[in-house]
Amino acid sequence: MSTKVVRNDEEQYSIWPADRENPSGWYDAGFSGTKDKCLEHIERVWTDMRPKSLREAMHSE
Amino acid sequence: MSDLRGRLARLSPEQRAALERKLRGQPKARPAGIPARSDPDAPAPLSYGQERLWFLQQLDPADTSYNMYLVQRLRGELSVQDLAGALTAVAARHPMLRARFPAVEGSPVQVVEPSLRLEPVLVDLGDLPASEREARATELVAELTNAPFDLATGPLVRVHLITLSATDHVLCLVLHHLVADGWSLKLVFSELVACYSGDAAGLGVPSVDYRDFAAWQRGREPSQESLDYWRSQLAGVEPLDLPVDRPRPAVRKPSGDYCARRIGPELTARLEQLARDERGTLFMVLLAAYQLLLGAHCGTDDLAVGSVIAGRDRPELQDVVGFFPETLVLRGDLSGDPSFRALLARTRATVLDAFAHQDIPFERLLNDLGIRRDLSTTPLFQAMFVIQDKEAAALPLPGIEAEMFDPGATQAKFDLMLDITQFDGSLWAMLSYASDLFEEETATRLLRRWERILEAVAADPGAPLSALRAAMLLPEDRPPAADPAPVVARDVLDLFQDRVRQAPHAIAVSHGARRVTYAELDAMASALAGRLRGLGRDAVVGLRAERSVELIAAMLAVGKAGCAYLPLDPAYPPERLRWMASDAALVLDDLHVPEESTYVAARGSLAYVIYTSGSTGRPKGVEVPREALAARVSWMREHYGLGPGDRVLQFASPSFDTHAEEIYPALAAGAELVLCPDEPLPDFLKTPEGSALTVLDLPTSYWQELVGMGVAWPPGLRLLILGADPLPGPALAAWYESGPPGVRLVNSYGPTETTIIATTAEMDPTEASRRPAVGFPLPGTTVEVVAPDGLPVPPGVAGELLIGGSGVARGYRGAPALTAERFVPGPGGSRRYRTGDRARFRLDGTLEILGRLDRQVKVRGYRVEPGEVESVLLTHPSVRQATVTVRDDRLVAYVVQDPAPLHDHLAAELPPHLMPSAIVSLDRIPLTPGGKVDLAALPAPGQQVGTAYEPPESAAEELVCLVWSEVLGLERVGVLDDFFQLGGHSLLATRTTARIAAATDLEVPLKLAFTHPTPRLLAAALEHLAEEADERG
Repeated sequence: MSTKVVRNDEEQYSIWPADRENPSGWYDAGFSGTKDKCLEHIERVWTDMRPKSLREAMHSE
Repeated sequence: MSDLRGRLARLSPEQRAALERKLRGQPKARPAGIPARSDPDAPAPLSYGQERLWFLQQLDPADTSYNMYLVQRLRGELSVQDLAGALTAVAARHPMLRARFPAVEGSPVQVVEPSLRLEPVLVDLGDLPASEREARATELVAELTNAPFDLATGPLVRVHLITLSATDHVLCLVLHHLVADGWSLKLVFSELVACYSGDAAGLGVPSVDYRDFAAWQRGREPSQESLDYWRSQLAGVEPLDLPVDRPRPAVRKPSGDYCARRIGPELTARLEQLARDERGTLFMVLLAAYQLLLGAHCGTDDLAVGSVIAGRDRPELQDVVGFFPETLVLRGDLSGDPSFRALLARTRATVLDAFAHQDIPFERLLNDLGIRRDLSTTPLFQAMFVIQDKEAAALPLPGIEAEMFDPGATQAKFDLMLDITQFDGSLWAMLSYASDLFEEETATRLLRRWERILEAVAADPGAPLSALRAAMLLPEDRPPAADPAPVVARDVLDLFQDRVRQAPHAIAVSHGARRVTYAELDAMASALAGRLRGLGRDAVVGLRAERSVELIAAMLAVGKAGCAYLPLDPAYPPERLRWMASDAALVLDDLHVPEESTYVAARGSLAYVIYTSGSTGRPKGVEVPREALAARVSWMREHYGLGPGDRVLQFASPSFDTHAEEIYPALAAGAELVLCPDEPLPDFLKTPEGSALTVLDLPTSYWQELVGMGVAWPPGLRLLILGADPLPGPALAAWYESGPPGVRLVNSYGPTETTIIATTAEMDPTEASRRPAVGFPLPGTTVEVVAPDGLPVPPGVAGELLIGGSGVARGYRGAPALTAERFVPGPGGSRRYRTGDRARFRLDGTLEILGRLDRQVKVRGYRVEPGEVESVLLTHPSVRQATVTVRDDRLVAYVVQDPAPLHDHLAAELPPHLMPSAIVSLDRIPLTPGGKVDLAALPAPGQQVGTAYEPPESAAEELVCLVWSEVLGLERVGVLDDFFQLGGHSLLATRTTARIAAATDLEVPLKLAFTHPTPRLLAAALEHLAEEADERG
């Protein structure tokens, strides 16, 4: 089963079956492949694991 | 053309198969006639099918699940004399109605009495008040249909005529399946009618004597092609892991019940249309839907279902009374999420192939394939599917109006059997179920889900099976809606500051003789927080300290500074501490830093980081946000009813998140937190400090140990919270038996990744007799149980537990891929944590935890849950603790016990696949620092039993070894050898049992051969039987 990388509004990443519709509030992050490939991709791109709202709040302090 | 297609769709599966054969140009060789035996009156062999029924009856002589019956209410002027005459005339026509089955040296033969007066036993209820007669008749009928027959003495037919009034009778005819089948019953009825009406002369002589058929069948070799077909078709079939409500007993019981449902004419017509469109039969459509239903409930896409065909394809068998049905095993392949239409094509091919290879009797197949009989279940398949012939059975006696009468039979031959009768354009579906496995509600819902699958496939046969699994769920199958609104809770430090203001001089923490007030603790925390100012939110501060007042103050201080703490237990290896702390902004070794500062709430950031060890690989740092902690703490404070006056033990190591359950709710409620001193807890509980505790929060395994040693519980104890390990029912029973009364017991469940606990259940003694629940989710928390593909499963079915909502952690520190894998998408942009725990919902939505997905194992194709075996071990009075694990493909039990033999206890309770192959006695079960069982520290079991020859030691062992070696044709048999591994099978077991019984003059139940499969075990059981016999005198 092919897998895709998805991301939510807090810019948190996860994986989801490629052929299944995303749950609401989750968007394709533009990468799909085997589960391992997807996780490797996430390991590279998800460099700041803080939720977006916290990042912005801390930035504006 | 369409008319022809309609005709084809109405063909029975057998007719269909015959037609296909014809069309494929493979005419079946015209069978030569069945020869008569040389001496028609000599005892005859049993057919394969009869032999199996006979064996099952020896196994459990009280089992009546193979009783056949016809019960009809006859209204009108009935001539009892003519009825008796007709019965005797019919019995004279069919030898099998006069047959009995004595055994010679454990092997059965069939003997036919030259004549039998088959007169009905008359029961006149005329003396009873009219209003009571029908109820009494119903009772009587149920007694008759559920009464066993004596196969050796016969007769295997009993007829009763119950008189309610001169013109109102109930005829109850019961036969053993050995002598008749459903087809035979119809023959008997129609001949009864003919004889009663005086038309006996018109009846032809039956073409064949059943005994000739039996002898002919036994002399026939099935084709090699068929044998090869079944060998490959059935290779690797695994038993169905049905979602049972009660654990499967060691020996299956025949008690059963059924539920029924009518599939209306409109849906039936659409299903028939679907069958026609796909060149199949209604049987195939209904079977495919049934296999989908079972697959979804057993978590498999490969399963076998049994079915029965009449087995009378030879024309000369059409008018013979006897047992002909053939069992076919139909294997379903649901893999790859195909459309229903594609599944139907697979089912069609399987069914047609099965019919084309039906020349092997099922019983032969079992032997040829070396299927070992397991008394806890039926061989090869556990679920049956049957479509009955269309005609309804009513006895059309002249001048008599006949109607069906409730037979009251309460027997189940299989775990589940779906039985369909077509009548009036509808399908009457009857699901019978083994009532020692299933609740009525479970069976009812199964049947309704099957109906929903049918509705869905009729609407869209192109739907994938995953969509059908979702469509089958009933409204009441959804987990109860916990309030999904996110919990907005005040920060734990806000709550703490409230207490500081309200009661500054109350005791906040005590440690030995030391007392620290809320004001003092706050001052310490504020002072320390000043030093952390400037680190910024989300910075992680390592706290390297033993359990102490200072450590509690430091935790609060870190919170005040808007940072997250990381507990660093000084007892951990330095290397591990070093990398755990590698990305901490600061590590505090010295917790005394006097400086003034004020508290600033810092929402949105982390409260703490806790490292959890996975079963493999490096420990993972779980990042828990302040909101998650706040949501849990405010609920605990309220739900645990904490307040001033409570003395709460701080027992958990700060390295585990249970410390937060002890510390924050107490400090948020104005209670006194009592730090556990270094001495062992049982000793501390005896001191004045310890005996004044009111609340304890303990890991379940450790609590079991305390219950086992009979510790002195504090007299004022009011609340005990358990967690970390599954709670076994027997441990709970021991608590209610010996523990202090009136203590509220809460069973909690939750991984660190969802912040301390996610669900709780209030315990009571009723939970002790089952698998105790972990209850319902906390507010703002969602729980789901899903199949491996992420789709929800129905209640009762095991799957992985997903937890969402307020408690979900941010993720694993510095591990994006691992976080993305374990925290999966939920609706509304939310995330759910995949717990890796196997769980299921009860029908009322209560959650049960079954074990770890990665601990769950398969042994000989059976899914084994070690916890289930542990529970049974714990019910033995000598066993104080038990852990079961798998090593080298063997189930190994570790027990803390007073030495006592456990085999018989286990064999009486557990099906064979759950029997440990080794039992290791230990002084104590090793625990990890967190109080969980340390599986890695368990010793390897010794030499495997049964590998070397062991000579018999006692007279009983000698006898068993001797009989076995004779019957199995072996030179010698050792006391540790396994009967079935030596080549023994069901019928050889009846033979050995008969010989042993004759030699010892004991009544030896056949079951023992299966539950005690080595000479040593069997000899011990025989000695036990002999003692019992002596006691009875």
